[in-house]
Amino acid sequence: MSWWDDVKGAVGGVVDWFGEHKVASNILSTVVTGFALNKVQDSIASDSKSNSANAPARQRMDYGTTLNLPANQDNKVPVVYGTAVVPGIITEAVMSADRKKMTYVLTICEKTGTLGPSGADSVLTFEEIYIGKTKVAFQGDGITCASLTSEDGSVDTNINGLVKIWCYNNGVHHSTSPAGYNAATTYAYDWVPNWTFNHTMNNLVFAVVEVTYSRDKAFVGVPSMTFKIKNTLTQPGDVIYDYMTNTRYGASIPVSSINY
Amino acid sequence: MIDLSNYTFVRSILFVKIEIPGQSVIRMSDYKTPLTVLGEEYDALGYFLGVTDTSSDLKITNSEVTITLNGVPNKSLAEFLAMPVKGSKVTVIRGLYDPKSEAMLAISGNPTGKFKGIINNYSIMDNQDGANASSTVTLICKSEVGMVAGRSAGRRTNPADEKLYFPSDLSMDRVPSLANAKINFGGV
Repeated sequence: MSWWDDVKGAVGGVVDWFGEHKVASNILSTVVTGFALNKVQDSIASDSKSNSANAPARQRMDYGTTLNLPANQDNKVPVVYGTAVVPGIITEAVMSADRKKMTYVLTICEKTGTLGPSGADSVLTFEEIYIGKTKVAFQGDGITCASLTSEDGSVDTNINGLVKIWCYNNGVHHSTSPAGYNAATTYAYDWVPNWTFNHTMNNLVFAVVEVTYSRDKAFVGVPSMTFKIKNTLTQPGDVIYDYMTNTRYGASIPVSSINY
Repeated sequence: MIDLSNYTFVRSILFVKIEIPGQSVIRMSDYKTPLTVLGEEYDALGYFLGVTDTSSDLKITNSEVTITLNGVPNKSLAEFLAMPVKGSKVTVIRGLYDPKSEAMLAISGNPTGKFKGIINNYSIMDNQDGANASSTVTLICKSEVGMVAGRSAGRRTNPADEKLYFPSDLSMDRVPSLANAKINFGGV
């Protein structure tokens, strides 16, 4: 409204005199209207220039990405015998205060039982990890993603340092490494904010994933991950025995009822 | 397939064997006198023993059989209830006999298996008849196929399922709040 203050200031002193003379008053009205219109046009032009000057700054504003996490209470935890590629199910997600890092937990499958009634405990290993259709290669720590290799062999290093994956094959205290790497032994609740030793993930194979937001590298969402899991429980007799006796995912048949 | 074309009359007798863990094996038949089948003697319950019909299928099926024990003295019920009846193994076989000689027919495949499974549930019905009060015990048996097919639905990713198996685990507690939640990632 600064232009209107100018109008009032310019004519304020004489408007009282013109008020008593009709012709002069009409002339004054025309002059004031014209002045006002000029001021409006100047103001619009001024705003337009101002917008042009500020445009680059506004384009730099990053409003981030709105994520709709595919967490679902009805997802069943799968059971893997032999080798299988399975997706992770999001069961926890925590955003950092600056919204630049998100840590989430992908539940992958059940930890299975022993190899027969008195055999060794089954061991599940992370053979390969995929983001989309590309295979993840890690840095030397076996945790930080270094590159993605697509089916045609092309390597994309944009992901380098932006994603960390900690693998666990039997609850929060049993960390493991992707095949071919040697990651340090860690507890899952050391990486997931707000988790304590009461977050146990008993008998579950899972991964803790930390992603760092990067608009420059077009890394702005939660990548779709799949895991190639290999179980040492492969023999048909062992598998059927495990399936028949397990009380979480099997038929809960008493061991005494089975002639192994 | 048992060939009965040379017999004018045959009698079918059912033999029920129940193996209750920690108890002696119970063997009974619906015949009027004790019989020995496959080296094991079966007590005679006659009409007090009832077994529901089963169907014969080319492939194994998830069938149920109900075994009814009539005239169980009420004083024996407490003993029955104290036993771990549920989960006990049940085997029902059928023997074909000559009704005149009361001898088992000497033909291939006799006796034949009718049902194998476990006791899945049971019910007791009182029959009040003055001083001779008795009960009818009904045993609902699930076949071995049903045992395998009736596997647990498995653990789902929600707090209730997780706490069913691991009551103190908090890992799945936030799944309900994460479902359909919209989270801003990277915004300033």
